[in-house]
Amino acid sequence: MAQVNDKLIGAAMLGIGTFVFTYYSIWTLVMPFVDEDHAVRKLFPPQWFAIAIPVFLLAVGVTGIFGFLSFVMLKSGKKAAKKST
Amino acid sequence: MARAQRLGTLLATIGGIWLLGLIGMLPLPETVQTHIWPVLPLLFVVSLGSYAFINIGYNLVAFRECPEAYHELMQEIQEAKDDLRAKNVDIS
Repeated sequence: MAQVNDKLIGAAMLGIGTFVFTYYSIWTLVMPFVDEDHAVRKLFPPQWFAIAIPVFLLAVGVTGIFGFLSFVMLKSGKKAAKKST
Repeated sequence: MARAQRLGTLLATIGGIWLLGLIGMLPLPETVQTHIWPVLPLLFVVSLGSYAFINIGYNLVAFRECPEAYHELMQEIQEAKDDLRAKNVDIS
């Protein structure tokens, strides 16, 4: 059924979004105040990753978007050049 | 256009305040100044992305299907197909 599939995807997106938001917020806003030997430190990697992972994903994402844009533009430019000849 | 200008002004103001805090002109606690303040733009982008995700997911889940309207629509489609087939229009 298309509805159940949609609802599953929706619930999954909801869960992922909430998890990412809360985890990242705690990671960046709360962890700097937590002592080194607290138990909660085991759940979160070092602060460096809190910056590295989003920056890396952003770089990959922006590269992908611009690459896709340039690919589409080149293709349409080639098509226009072919048509005019 | 006015909405984009308002958004641009708001972003510029917040960005200005953040830059002030970055160069040390705001009275911030030690840990906040060194660890939290520089990461705020990243937190903003991540929050924006997760907000969009949550929005889409929630609307997918909370979309109210109307079974009666669905059946009625299917019936109308069937009637239209039969009608057109009777008039010799090729419908699979």
